[in-house]
Amino acid sequence: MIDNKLKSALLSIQKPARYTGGEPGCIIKDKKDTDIRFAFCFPDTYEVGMSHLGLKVIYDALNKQPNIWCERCFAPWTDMIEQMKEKNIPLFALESKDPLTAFDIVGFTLQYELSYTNVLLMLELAGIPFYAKDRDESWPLICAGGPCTCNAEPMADFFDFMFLGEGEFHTIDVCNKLNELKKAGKSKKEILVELSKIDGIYVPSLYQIEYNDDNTIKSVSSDVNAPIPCTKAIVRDFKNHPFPTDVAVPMIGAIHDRAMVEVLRGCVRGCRFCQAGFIYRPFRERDADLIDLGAKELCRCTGYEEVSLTSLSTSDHPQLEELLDKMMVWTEKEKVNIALPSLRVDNFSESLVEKVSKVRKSGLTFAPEAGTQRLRDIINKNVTEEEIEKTCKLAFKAGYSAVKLYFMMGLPGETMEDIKGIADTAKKVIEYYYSMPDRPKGRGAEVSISVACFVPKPFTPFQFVAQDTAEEFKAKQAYLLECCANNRRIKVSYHDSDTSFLEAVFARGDRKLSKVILDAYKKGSIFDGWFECFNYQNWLDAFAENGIDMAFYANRQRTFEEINPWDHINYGVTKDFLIREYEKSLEAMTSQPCNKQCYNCGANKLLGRACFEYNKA
Amino acid sequence: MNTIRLKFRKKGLSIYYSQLDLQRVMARALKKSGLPVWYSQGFNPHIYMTFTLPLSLGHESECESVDFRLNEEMSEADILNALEGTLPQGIELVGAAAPDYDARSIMFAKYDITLYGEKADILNALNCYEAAEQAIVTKTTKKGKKNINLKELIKDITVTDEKDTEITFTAIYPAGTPLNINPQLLLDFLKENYGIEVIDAFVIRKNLFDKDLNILQ
Repeated sequence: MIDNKLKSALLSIQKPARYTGGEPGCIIKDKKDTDIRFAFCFPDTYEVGMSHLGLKVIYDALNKQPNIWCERCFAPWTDMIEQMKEKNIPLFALESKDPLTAFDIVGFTLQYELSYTNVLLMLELAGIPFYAKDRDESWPLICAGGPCTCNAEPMADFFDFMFLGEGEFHTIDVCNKLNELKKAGKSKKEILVELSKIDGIYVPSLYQIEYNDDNTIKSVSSDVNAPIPCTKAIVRDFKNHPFPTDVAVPMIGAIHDRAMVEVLRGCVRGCRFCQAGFIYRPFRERDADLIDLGAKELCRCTGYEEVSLTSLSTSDHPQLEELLDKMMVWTEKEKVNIALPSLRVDNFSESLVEKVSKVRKSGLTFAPEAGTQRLRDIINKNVTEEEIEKTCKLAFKAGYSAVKLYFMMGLPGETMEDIKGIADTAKKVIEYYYSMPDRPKGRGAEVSISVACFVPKPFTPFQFVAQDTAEEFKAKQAYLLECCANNRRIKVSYHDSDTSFLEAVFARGDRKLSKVILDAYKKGSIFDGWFECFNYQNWLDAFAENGIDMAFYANRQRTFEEINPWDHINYGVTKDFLIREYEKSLEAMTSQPCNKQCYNCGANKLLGRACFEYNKA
Repeated sequence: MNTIRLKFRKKGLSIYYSQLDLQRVMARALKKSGLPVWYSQGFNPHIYMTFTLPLSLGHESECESVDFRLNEEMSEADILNALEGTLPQGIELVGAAAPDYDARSIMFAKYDITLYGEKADILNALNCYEAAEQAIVTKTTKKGKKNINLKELIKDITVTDEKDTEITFTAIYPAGTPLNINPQLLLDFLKENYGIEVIDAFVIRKNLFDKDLNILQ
């Protein structure tokens, strides 16, 4: 298991238990009894990766198959990287401590663009060649999944294949198919062609991209007739689909260290900036009884004292209050706290706030996203000022005194008036507090506003728009601070625009960026999402040396006719729908939540039926 | 309400849990076990636990224990049964019964240290240490730094196992609340003063003792 070399490395670093596995709930199998070994790699630290519900879902789904063993692997922190290089320890999976080269499939989850260099780091530490074309049958298949694969073209040259959409079924299908093909002695190319026939499997090397002189894409074709478009996979019967109830529990803590149950998938809201709101369509909720029983079992198996009902918009679950009533029968007795992380300002009811605050009071977070009604209409964040007022008052009445508000800047159509609106919204929240006679006594109100830089993303109505430049962001940030000056009850924090710019480049990037990512990695860029590790100059140099203009990807308005790098990929929502929504945004026209009115986005085709029974309502 | 002392060994993968992690490990295990554990009665109830003597990260131990309270009378077998399968790999349960001594009576601890390196060099270093008048090291505590003489404090250094590249020696160190000497201090002293090249050193806590060097177990 742990040899002396590893033991010695572990005694020389911080938090060695990041690298040891052995937590209750982790799965150990006999490798002799398994056909396919799958290394689930999270290209960030253990504490970040172990907070990720998707890892637990796939780990559970694969390990329920007797012939498959799925293990975990995380990016080692810098101190461990040094030790591994010095002591010649190849990157290993936590369960068996076997190097990644001993696996059949090495799968990375791409959760955010700034983790791309860590994928290369992990490949190099494992001694695996970076480029897919440089790996023959003797290497594991290297693949990727997660939200970024809706356009992971910048990473396409490194991966043999990608999982599009939801992994519950197709990860298993791929393992079984691979087992069959390996036993039949097929070549790597033959294997990849076969895998591309599975729902939601995208094999980049089977597609040829041609470019125009202006660097836009001329055409996408496949010489082996791989599917165009390549369509994502979904779990059609999500309502009754079970979820993991016994998961590996990190003993050294994690960023989100609590039991998690995904109560619904997809989102009915259609906020035009939100990629998750479109790529996870169609909306499907889980059955309340299944959630209640599963959550109880999950808490029993893990010993967690907090269970989070996660989703993109938990209060949109049609049975939420009923579910909370059921859960509170046992959570109070077992001293388990229920957390509702994504509530909406517009349907936050009095009975709901009571139920949540019965267990434990903390701060409350809302996301108006924009400071004026006009801009909220443009982005289709259907929240009104009255609703913000009503909700804040409800919350204050229930004993909350700290409110956190999330906003974005750089949204399409934004003016300085909208930036001032952010400060005005915060000031009004404070006024609501002091206008209430029954506010919590002895405490002052505190409003934290957190402002992110808007990043246009594929598969959203704003996929066509130019991102603000760094100069525009800086001017807006300075103006916001000016508007909030002299108010000590308002705390302002904002994101660094450099990382948002890089994110925008990769989000809508194409295959030409693979070389840039590799070059930046070779210059030492890793953990780009970590403030203390991010080196912007590396990136500027890597782009310059490759003669690639970052603004071409981030700051350019795209025409509807342009072929985007992700146009041969199908996530359900059609380009026509995205164009319609974009055109409505230009008129500041809103759309209803899609459970109220269908706008024909196309995602129902994945389901094979209508998403909702509209006539019932 | 009954206080229970859970005795366990900390070995294998579990040596990489810090004291803080171990508190989480134990709280989760007790919660999972379904035992009628007593919770503190404050605003934010939590399982009440006291560890007898904290152990450094990376050290193994044969003699760890943690005290908690149960709301009901239960047999040792039932408690151990309930805890089965709730702990991470490497934590081995030994017993669960009413505490047999007061944690404040701990005065000494015995550690085995295995050094990997050249046998002759290591033995020479131990001999030099034995012959030295004094061995002053700086100990960092919450109150600041102070110099202490290891020669006055560490007792009965004995080599128990010799191989070509591996020497194990045992010794008794002051332990507990008044003065706690981490065996790492001796290791650092040997490395710095007698120039041995220790490739690796592994430490195991073997026993705890009272002021008269009676084993507490």
